[in-house]
Amino acid sequence: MPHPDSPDPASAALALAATNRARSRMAAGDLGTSWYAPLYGLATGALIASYALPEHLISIGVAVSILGMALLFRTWKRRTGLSVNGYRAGRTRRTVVAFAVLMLGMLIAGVVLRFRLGIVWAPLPLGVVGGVVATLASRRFDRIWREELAAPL
Amino acid sequence: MSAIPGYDAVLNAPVRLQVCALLIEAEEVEFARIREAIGISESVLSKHAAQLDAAGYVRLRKASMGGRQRTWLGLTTAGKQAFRTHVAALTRLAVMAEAAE
Repeated sequence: MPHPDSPDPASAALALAATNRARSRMAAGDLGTSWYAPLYGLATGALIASYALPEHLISIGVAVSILGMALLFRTWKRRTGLSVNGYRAGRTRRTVVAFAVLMLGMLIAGVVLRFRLGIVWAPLPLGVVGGVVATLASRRFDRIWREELAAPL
Repeated sequence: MSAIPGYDAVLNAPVRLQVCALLIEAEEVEFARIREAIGISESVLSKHAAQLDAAGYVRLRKASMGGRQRTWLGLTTAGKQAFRTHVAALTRLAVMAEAAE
């Protein structure tokens, strides 16, 4: 005999359906992807491209890019009312890890090409490519997150 | 008389279940965003958020952002665990309802 407070099968199905509707509504809400993704790409690209600057300006370029990212995260959180961990469990993690490895590789490549091989301008095109990749990765993250939220429990 | 395994009395209220279902996918969600998704008033959400907080399932954090005081909600580890087991119990029941149709 079920506990008196336990839901019956029909109530359980209704509760799950109402919960799934709430999740779908939140998934359909504004995630700010249209402005966040390109700005995130810009900040990431600027971080890599900073290594093409004259040596005494590199640290300033890197600091400005990181500050820009921090400001962007803060603005996104305030405007969307959401705080999502980039390394959250789920399908987004694969995208984030692949992106992080790629960005680190591009950053290291930029530094090596500039300081070991003397190709001063090399970080610039790497920054452009990195910016585009970061924009696409950010969009992909949002899309997967929405899909996971909208999927029935 | 036994409760259904995994059934959680705190999460039996639909609003509390819905709040947890939104929080499980994020680190924190702002009060207004939850209210919009569920479609309830501020006072109703406040009441249920306080009950989830009292059960140790949710942590509430007030923060000033853009000159406004805003409340953020996040699931605790106990809240995540309770939510998952409760949803599993509901799913088992829902399957029974489907089979009965």
